[in-house]
Amino acid sequence: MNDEERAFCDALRRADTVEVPVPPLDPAEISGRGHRVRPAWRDALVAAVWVVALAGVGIAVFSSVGRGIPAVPVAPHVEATGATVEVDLFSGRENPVVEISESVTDELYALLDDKAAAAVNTDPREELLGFRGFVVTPVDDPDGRVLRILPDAVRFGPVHDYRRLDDPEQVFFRFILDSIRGSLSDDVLKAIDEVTQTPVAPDESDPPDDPPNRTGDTATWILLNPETVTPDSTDIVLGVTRLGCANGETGRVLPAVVDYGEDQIAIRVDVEAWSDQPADCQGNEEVMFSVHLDEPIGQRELVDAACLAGEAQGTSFCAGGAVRWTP
Amino acid sequence: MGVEPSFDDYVRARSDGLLRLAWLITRNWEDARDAVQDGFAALYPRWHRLPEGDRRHAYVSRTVVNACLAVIRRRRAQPVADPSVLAEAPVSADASTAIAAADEAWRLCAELPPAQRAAVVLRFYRDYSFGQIAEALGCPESTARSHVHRAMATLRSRLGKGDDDE
Repeated sequence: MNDEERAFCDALRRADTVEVPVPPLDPAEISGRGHRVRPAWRDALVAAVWVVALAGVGIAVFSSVGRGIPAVPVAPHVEATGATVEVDLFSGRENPVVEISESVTDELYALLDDKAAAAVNTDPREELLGFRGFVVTPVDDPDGRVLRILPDAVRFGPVHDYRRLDDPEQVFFRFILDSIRGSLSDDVLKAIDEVTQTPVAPDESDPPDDPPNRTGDTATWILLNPETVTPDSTDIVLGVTRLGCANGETGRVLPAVVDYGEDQIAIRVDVEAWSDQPADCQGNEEVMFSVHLDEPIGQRELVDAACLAGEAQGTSFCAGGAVRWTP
Repeated sequence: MGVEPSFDDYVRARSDGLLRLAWLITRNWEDARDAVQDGFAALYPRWHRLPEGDRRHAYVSRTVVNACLAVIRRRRAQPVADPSVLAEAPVSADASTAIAAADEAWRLCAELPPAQRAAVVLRFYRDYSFGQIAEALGCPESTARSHVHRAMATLRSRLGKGDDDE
């Protein structure tokens, strides 16, 4: 060993004599985060959303205590049923009913809570013709947050405060359809296709493994050029990193979901779902991704929705909080 | 074949060692804790499928090293409240040549690019071979060698410069 090597050895082995000054790691906390203890946040979420909604002041998606819950990736090890989905076809025969997993259910409601602030009151008796939507009923909350997901809107809430959230990009419709497509027969898919005028039946020309608008795995982002962002900006460039293990690959970034609040603009960026193949947990690459905002940022903070709740929250990716830019 | 420790037992038994490893790479205890916690959180869902014995230790270490580099990348993207915490360094007051060299090596480590620093830490703190360093960092072995040799060359230059100054 030469002098330089010896110097490095001596220097670095000083670490062995240093007391570790941070609190010991808690295996329960780590494993709880790994498995996402679902009932706690979900109960809190349900309570917070409905209390606020019933108070008539709207859903405080991005208030300091009622932050929206961003999408959580499908956790392959959690396969319990989270909700039933009735395909309300009004076809003269019994509606198909299929089940979705807890993780998909969580993600669906997280998606809703990200956007629920934009919902408006509507008449629950409004006549719906033809395809009357996917009726989602949580198994552990059958009297609570039943959703009716239409191709262009989501309807939900108690009769006295029934709401409609417009969904012109069909985010919810596609999400649920992609989740249950494998459980529906071709004739049901064709029936949905016919009544909605939306091509949902399998298209032989499309690659079967590339469903449209697929909601994927959690990723976090940072602004790559924060110094160039101004209140007038409508285009921003993100550095996106997949949260989970994926052999160092972030992969394809899915379209960003942007929620325009009064004080904040929350941006959730998912990445294409990782296969069930084993993966090394080396740090994943950072992928550049451009987002066009429909309106200038103004005097609003830019927020990474993945850091508001869900499995990214509490990781070092979110250690500095969720805010990525402040005017 | 011995019984593999449970996840909880492993975390409790190995945390301090991994925290020190992470601290040497991140040079910040909070970041080190974040990195180790991130590493374990990533491994937990498939803990029982990890290789056993020494291969498991190597796998966990590799995961933590990469979590450290990820933490450093994010840290660069965010303002650090107090930059001085990035270089916490137990520098000795002893002026003997060997200790002075070690002090300089310590300071230098704090200034090395993250991948180079990680390579040096794995080489001289963990006694990894260049092949193991390459595997841990996900780079060719030649790159691992280059990281370490550049660090040594820098230290050699600094020590030489120090002599000149005196």
